[in-house]
Amino acid sequence: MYPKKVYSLYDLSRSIRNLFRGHASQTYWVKAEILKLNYYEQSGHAYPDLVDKQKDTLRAQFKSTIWKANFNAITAKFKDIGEALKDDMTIVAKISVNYHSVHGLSLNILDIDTDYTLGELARKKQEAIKALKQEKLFDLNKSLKLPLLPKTIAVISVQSSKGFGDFEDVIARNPKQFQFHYKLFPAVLQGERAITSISRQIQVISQYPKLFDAVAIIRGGGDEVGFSAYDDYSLAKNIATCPLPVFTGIGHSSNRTVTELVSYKSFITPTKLAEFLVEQFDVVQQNLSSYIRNLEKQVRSDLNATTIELQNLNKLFEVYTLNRLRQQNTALSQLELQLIRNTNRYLERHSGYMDVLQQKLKLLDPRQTLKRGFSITTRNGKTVFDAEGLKPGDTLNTTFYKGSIESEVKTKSKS
Amino acid sequence: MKTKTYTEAYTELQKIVEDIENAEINIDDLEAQIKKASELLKICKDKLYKTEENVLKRIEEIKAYKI
Repeated sequence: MYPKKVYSLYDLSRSIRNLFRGHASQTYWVKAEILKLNYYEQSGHAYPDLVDKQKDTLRAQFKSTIWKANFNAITAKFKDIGEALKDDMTIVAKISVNYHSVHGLSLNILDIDTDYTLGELARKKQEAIKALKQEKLFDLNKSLKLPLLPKTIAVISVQSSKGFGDFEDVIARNPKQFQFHYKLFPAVLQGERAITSISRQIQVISQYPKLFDAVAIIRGGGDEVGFSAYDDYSLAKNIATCPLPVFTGIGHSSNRTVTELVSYKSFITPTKLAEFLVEQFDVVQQNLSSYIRNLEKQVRSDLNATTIELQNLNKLFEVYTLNRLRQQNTALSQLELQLIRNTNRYLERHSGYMDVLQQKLKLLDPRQTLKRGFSITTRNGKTVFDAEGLKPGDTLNTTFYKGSIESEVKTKSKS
Repeated sequence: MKTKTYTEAYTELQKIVEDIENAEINIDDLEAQIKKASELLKICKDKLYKTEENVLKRIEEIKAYKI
């Protein structure tokens, strides 16, 4: 007989199971980090690796299970707060401790407290947002004016990163071959170091605000770890106060980080960011084309209007000119008539005067007097007006209306 | 005689017509004035005719312009 008391592995497991039986019905709230979620879509169950780390030292690790029904309920709760269970997430979970003779010790997760998961980071994030808003920095970068053609870009990225590659690709292959210029300012983009690294480059770029049209922070590929850096207050403040519009394309799919919120414009991928830049050129080009078309249309319509105006003016010109000529014609004809009429009148008037004169002359003719029985006496050819000077014996000639006589003065009577 | 403008000739003609109307012309000068009036009238008519002719020609030209 074997000298030592030996148990089968099964016996051992049974006795350990008995040890845990007392705990099986009990539940506890436990804080832990999900190292890996290990969700299986087909079965609907998840087998998260739970750890407890202090600094980078592992203090505890457990396998755990979330059965389908619980998983669905928890997922629904997280969806309500805009979150999802994922790797590297710290949770407070309601668990029971189980022991299985084959699968060993594991924690059965019954529930996860969403309030905690919003957690420290979220609280920090909210605090950062609140502070930035209070300091009027939150919308500061958005209030900057993006040049019509953002063609010179200061890029904060990593030369070898997939995100920067995507960005370069879109720029280089833009269909209309718009010319962009960009300069890379290398920076660490992940983890705590990203905060100071990006901030430093923003400060360098800020010294040359006239050289660049905008800043683009580009990150893409790699794990979504250490993302909390982008919720950091000091980094967000550096971005908000940058004198140039800051674009972000940091390839982050869930909630937007504070950095993205304060930036001039954020894009879900570096590709989208590059496409936006190209689109600005496209829009300007399209606007220009449409301006040219409108200008042409306007000029044509103006020309048409002017043509019609000119034609009307032409017509009026013709009418007025001909009217003026006709008026002048009439005036001239009237003047001619007047000349003839006035001349006739003038002549008539003058011939009237002649008639009167003739009449007067007729009346003055001495024969007319003689006719009425008067006679003219002359002596030595001179008309006698006075008897004085005449003496008896003088010869007088007397002329009558008809005939004349010669006589001698006999006596002179006293007058 | 120096060529007169239409306006000059017309004004002068008007003056003669008025003078005759108001009998401000000596009968001795009447013939001379009438002669002058007929010359002025001829100037006016010629000018008016030529002007009309030219204007009509221009109007035809204008109408022929392609706009």
